[in-house]
Amino acid sequence: MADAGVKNDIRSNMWRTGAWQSLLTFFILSLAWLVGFSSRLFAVIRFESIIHEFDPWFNYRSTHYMVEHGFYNFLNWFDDTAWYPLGRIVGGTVYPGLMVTSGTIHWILHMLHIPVHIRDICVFLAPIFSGMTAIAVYFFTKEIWSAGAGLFAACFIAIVPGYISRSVAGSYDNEGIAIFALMFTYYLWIKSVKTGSMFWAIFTALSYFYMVSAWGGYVFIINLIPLHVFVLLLMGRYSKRVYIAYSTFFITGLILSMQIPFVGFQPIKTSEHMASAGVFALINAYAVIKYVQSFLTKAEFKFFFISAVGGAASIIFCTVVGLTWAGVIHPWSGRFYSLWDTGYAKIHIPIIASVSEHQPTTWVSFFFDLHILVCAFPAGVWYCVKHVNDERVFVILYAIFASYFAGVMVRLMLTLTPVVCVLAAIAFSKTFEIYLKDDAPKSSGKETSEEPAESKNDRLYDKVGKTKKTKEEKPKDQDAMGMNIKTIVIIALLMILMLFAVHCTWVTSSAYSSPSIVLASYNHDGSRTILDDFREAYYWLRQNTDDKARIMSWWDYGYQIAGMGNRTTLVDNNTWNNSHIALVGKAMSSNETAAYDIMRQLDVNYVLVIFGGVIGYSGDDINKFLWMVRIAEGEHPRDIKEADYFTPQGEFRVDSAGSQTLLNCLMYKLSYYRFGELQLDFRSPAGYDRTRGVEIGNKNFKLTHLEEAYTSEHWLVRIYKVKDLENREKVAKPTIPAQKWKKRTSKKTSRKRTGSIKNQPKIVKGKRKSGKK
Amino acid sequence: MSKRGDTSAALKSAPSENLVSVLKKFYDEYMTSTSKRLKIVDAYLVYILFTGVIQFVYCALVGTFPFNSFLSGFISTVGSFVLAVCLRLQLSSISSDRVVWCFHYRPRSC
Repeated sequence: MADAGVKNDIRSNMWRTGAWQSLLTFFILSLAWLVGFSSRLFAVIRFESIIHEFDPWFNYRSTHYMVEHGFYNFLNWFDDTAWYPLGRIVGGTVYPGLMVTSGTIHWILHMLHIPVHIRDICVFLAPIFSGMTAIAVYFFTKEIWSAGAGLFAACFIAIVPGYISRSVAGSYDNEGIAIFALMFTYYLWIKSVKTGSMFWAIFTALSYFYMVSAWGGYVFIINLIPLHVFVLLLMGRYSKRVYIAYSTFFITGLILSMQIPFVGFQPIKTSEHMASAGVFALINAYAVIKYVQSFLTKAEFKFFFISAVGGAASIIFCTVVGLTWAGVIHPWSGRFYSLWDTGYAKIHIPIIASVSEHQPTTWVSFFFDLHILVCAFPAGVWYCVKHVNDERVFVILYAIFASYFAGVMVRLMLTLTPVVCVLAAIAFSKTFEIYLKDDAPKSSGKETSEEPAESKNDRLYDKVGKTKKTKEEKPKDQDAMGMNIKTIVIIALLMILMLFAVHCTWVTSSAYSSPSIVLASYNHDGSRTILDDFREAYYWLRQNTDDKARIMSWWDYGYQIAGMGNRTTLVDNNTWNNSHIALVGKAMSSNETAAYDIMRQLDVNYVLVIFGGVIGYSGDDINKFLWMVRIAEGEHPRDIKEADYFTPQGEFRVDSAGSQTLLNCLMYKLSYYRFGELQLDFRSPAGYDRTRGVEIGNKNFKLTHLEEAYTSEHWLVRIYKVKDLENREKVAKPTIPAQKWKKRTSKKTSRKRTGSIKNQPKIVKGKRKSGKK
Repeated sequence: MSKRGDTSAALKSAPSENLVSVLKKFYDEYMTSTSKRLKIVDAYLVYILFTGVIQFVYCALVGTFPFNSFLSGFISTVGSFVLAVCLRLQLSSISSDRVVWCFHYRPRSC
């Protein structure tokens, strides 16, 4: 926001006290918070306050457990109802930040005697934190550029769909608080680099600790900050401030990050964290050399420098390589390695490749999630490059690497969104400054002479009101355009920003606000039909099965079954044990008898499948079936072969032309049991699958080892009970051995002896007897 | 760190002699030109360094069990060392540069 020039009247005095600025800033930020909060409430208004999707159900269940049993019981919790019969060490395999945050809010509110249920806190946590993210982004951008750009950035991040997608009300997931922690840590880091004080560096480390407790994406911070320091060293921008900031942050952050049980010893043992240690060693070596340099002459120093640097670099390099080769430092884990080598996961780790969020991003997603910001974003990068200083190097690096990662995986669009908001805000702010200036610049000569001084020590950007910002544009050309052009440009930009707001609201409303546990479809007259099959089936499970019953389903639904059905599951979304999942996949892909053996081994009582053929739901288990086959084939290549499930022409078909293996496997039978009798409407034949759009091939079959327990209203969820072993094995074609009837002689006497009964009338066969019986 | 080095030291031809003379010159220079306050901090730094080295050598010789103890001890020494170095940097710049270090959150001329 450009300031007025130097005028001597009351209005300028009021401006210069900064009072209006603070008031405006406060109002704009609270409006941004309010808008961000309200924009995320679509799902709550349309349906109800419910936890969405899959992962949030586990987070909610853990938070509930923590609120009931206390923090230390939560940290030491061993959950034996998940991953039967293995169990899961929840305390050691979860990032506790989210649960602790909700638990703290719950505790505070209850201390004040405001009884809010933990579910409501969990549902509304992400929208509240979105407002705090907006404020953190405001401070960050204010440090990078100016307060005006900061306000733009706060407003952008409040409504941008890329961030809303993971922080809508009901989406109780780590990213909701992690993006706030990320931007706050980056703000504190920029502050520590700018001031060089240990106070800010320690705060950065504390905020980093909060980030480590919240999300696995903290690896991004611990690689980006060392990269920033390294690039500063390469650019020759080393100074005391950088040394103080980074060394304090690194060592305090290291010991704090190892306090989380899930992270454990990873910061010193895995390759993902080695960059930070390497840069720490490097900056210490650089500092020592610079210190020694102050005592020696140039020639002596040159000699010392070469030997010292050569020795140090070789030692560090040999140590790292040796430790990696010896196995002490683990190589890059699969999740992060697949970011560099994108073909790796499909071949070696099919579970990672099968998740829809891990697919590469399409061009459409960039525009859909970011709208006009992605177009203004390169302009912001260019401005930062032109007026570079220590903190803008950081933003440029963040932008480059976030763009790369967002291109690799759809899920990582989330990390790109804040920096796109910041840089687009810088571009817009700069443009508005130029075009909103409506008086002739008096200081054109002064500006051009200050240009070389500006680029050397740039500390003046955080002062709003200085008129030295438009220095690189030729003022004469600007003014020649006149008021009309400026007004047109400003109006055009304002209209674009309004369209941006409309687009964001539309995207939030239509694409990112579905709870996916409740489906809604709209009829021709606009009325709404709610399909609540999932909850219906899970509550049937909860109320009609034994407390210790074990449910087998595909891993997608594990958390929901545990959360809503409160039953033991075999595999769930944590996917930590690939062999167990492969066993379930093998059971689903084999024929009924082989699957029954596996189910008896695993003590399964019920099987749950999702079937979308009646309503045309495309996320059902038959559509996921090939991934089950692939994962099972990875562990049992001799029993399951993916090619068996395709037709000879290579198609995946469920009609009569489909492969026999597919038509007789357990998943097929459980999905289509009794479906052949169902005729949905008079135009299509009985057994017409709406999702695949074909009539199924194998229709009237019976199940031998399972029986149908429950099918929900629209056949979405089908639950089968696993029958006990038969009393007697039924043989299809019993072979009766041929027997020869022999006269049986008693061994006791040599001849046959007849006994006699007293008063026995003589009866001759064939003749009618007279008298008594 | 921001002092100007002195001049007039002739280069000798043999490398090992050169290294020794360089180090000796560095030591003499250090002894004369640093203030007492900084020397106390430097002595503390040397002590911390020795503690860290001893811990590391012990771990390498005897084994890493219990690993938590080794980690906590070693990282404490490294942390104390780093924080003392930061303190020394700030002290030396105060005493030599006449630049006032701003310790509150609104920097002016840092």
